Amino acid sequence: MNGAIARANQVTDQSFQSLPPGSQGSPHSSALLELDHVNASYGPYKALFDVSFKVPEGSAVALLGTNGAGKSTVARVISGLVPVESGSVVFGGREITGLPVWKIARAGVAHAPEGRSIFASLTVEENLMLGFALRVGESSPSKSVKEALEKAYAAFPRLGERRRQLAGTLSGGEQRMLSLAGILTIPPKLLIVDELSLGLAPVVVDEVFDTLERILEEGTTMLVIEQHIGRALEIADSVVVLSKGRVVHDGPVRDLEEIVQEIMPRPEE
Amino acid sequence: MPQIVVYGLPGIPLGCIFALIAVGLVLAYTTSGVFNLAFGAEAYAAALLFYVAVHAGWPKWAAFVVSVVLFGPALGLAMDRYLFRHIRTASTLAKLIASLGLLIAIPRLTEVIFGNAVRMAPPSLILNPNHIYFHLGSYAVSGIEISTVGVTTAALIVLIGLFGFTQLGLRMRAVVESPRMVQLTGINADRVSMVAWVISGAFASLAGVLLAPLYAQLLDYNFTGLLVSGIAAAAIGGFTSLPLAFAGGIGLGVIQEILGGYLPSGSILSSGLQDAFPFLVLVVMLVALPSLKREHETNDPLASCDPPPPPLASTLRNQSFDRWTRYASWTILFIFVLSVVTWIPGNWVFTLSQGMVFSIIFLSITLLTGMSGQLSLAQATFAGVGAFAAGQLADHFGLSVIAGMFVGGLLAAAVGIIVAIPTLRMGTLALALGTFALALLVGSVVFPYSWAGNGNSGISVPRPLIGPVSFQDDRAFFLLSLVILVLCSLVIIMIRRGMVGRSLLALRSSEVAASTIGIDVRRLKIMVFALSSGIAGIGGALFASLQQSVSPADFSYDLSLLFVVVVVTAGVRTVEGAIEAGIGYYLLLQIMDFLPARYSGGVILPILFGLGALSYARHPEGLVEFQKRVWTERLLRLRDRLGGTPSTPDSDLPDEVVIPAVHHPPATG
Repeated sequence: MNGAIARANQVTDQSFQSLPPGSQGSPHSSALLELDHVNASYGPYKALFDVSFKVPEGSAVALLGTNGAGKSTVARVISGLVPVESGSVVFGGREITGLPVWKIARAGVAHAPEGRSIFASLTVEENLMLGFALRVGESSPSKSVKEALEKAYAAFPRLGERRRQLAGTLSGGEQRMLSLAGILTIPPKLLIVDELSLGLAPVVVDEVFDTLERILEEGTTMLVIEQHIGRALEIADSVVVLSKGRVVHDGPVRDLEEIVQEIMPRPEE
Repeated sequence: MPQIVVYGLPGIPLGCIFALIAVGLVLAYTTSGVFNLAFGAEAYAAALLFYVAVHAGWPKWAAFVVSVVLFGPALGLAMDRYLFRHIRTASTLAKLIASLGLLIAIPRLTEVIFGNAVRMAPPSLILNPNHIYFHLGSYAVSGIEISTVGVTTAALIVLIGLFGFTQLGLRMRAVVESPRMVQLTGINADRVSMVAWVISGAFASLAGVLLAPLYAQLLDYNFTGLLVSGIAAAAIGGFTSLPLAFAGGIGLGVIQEILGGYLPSGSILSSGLQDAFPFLVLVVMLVALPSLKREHETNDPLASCDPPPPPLASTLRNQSFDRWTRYASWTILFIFVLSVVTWIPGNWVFTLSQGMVFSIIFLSITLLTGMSGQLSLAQATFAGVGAFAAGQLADHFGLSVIAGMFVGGLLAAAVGIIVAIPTLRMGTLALALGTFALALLVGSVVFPYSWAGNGNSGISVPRPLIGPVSFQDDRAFFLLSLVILVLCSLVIIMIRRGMVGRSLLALRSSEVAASTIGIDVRRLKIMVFALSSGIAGIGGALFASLQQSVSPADFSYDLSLLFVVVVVTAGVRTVEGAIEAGIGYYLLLQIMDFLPARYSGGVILPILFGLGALSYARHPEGLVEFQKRVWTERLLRLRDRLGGTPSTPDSDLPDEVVIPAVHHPPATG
């Protein structure tokens, strides 16, 4: 029985044959981000148990796991949206545990949250301006907000057409594009993308992943959370797998089927 | 000069006053997401401070610095820091109730601090208010008019400049929608919201100091009364546009003065115009303006970062414990009733009856606010409709008060339906504002007529008579109100347990989700609103019969506001909460009667309950009910430690299945 493949097909609609050979993460580069025995919970519900892993500078790490495994919580813990109960988060050699969200963002962590993460009551342009205002000139060629806006519209022409429209009236895919445009135009030091491909047309997903690859080459470090495992492995150097709030695998990219086994273990028969 | 211009000219300074309030409301609403009803109270507090300082011999500029430059912004800062910052992403209802609590508590707090002396002729900030500086055609322009128009225009220009040409306005609007997402872009959302509240506080205090000399006497009533005009003007700007709110205010003032000029002077219609006209404008705007229909309430996409709310008291029931409390409460109730009919002194029996009658009125709030998540600011008005209907029917047609009570309830329900149909569709805020305006309209234009409440002299209402049984005696009347209270409570409990109650729970959790499972949201809401006004009407009629004489002052609009905060503090989700609120409030009022006027129950209780209502966002089940849960848990733990059977929360379906208002998935991702 090829049960693992069948299950994998539920997770990803990619074909597995097109997998690239796993490019090994370079163990010599220093870690830009380091989680050390992080525990976190939502009120009485504990979500993360002793989560530890590293994201080496300049590399991309894929964070995989089933629904409810704690992937988004890891992202939120890094950006400060969910408080760390115990353990520490170190970014660029500096402890950021317990810092307010906006300070972590200013330190260079960009978190594109899952789902509709735009300001629905603001126009497209206002949404972009809000994101650019503090980040222009920060490691990017854009000198002014205006320049950054033009760059964003060039990359996403659809947004340029709708710059005066309220963001809440955009389609789901366009909203996703808008939140990405805000981040990708001025690449941050560390980019955390949560369920990027959700609600995007396959063609657009291709484009977005091309952009991700480009800014990865330009030196941005990435933590990629994806249900679309095939996609994530295309770009990632190493893989962290979460299950029920614990890290169950941390290592270089391997065979997809092995990882699928890791994420959705076959029930005992 | 044509007559219409002569009538209209004084409308411009009046309109500026409306505009000043409207701009203040729009400012707070767009930058903090709170429709800040407490604006009127802030303005009053600043005006009072200015008055006290000037009368203490301070120079005017020093008084201005203290009240407008220091006090106003500090009050705004405190409101942000200790209240609104923590409920930024709460529901419209929760934010409205918080601002309502402040609106009630602040004026009474100033009374405790500065005493309740009569304060005549409030001083004017810049020009001599009554001096005629120049003539416009035949119209004499006075100092107060010049300063009002001048300062309002200047304030508007400053605000438009501040928001039009800086990033500040943009950031404020973004923070209203999702403070977390603003933080993710590296902006300190707390500081942005602090600035918004400081500006709004300064603006409110400026408005207060400017408006004070318009009236002969400094009264908080004058400021809250102006709120409705301000709300109507703000509605013209869709609650979002500062220039349109400004223009709306001026327009409202001018049209009101012109109408006033042509209406017969001295009639109820012309004297009630200031209250009636804004209501009509507000309702027309709510119905006509499409942008108001889309409620200015967008959910924070990152709301799931919050931990889920704790369970409500009623979900933590324990069967054996429950049985004991039930036995105990039946015993206490029996002893209580027995005591009332035998040895308790007459004035206390009267107070207890009052408490029970108000419990009935409060049940209408339990049904509307607690069970369906809507807010009405006209429950006292509906009570008044019931009271006057029962009284007039008994007077003119000799109808029994008991029958009149039900006719009154039906009439109140009918009035409720008329208001509910245009406003309910537009959501919580529209209903609250619409009913607020209705309360002013009915209170000043309908109730004063002799066929209704008969002005200040009021009407007399007899005690009921059923066959040979008379309820003339206070103790007999107590039993009657007890029976009616029990009947009303049973109705509410049956509704809650039945299909309607389940539908309401679904509605309170998510209107969209409720409609997808086939609930006719609109019909359900109107039905509940009508039923709630009907119950208030029945309670009102019973109150009239208890007092034997009632006047429109017994059902004034500010009483409706007080009702809401009292019930919300005690517990708006349960029948017990309404009864605790009714009996508790009137008993406390009677107990505190011996205190000096400055600290009497009429002053202290609004402060306590007003401040108690501020916790609604955190404890939607009410402070009293919350404490009950805390103590129940403690008792259960104590019993376990003493060696009883270990208690687990009852897994059977509890009396009330409580679904959190916002559903938080335990852990996503």
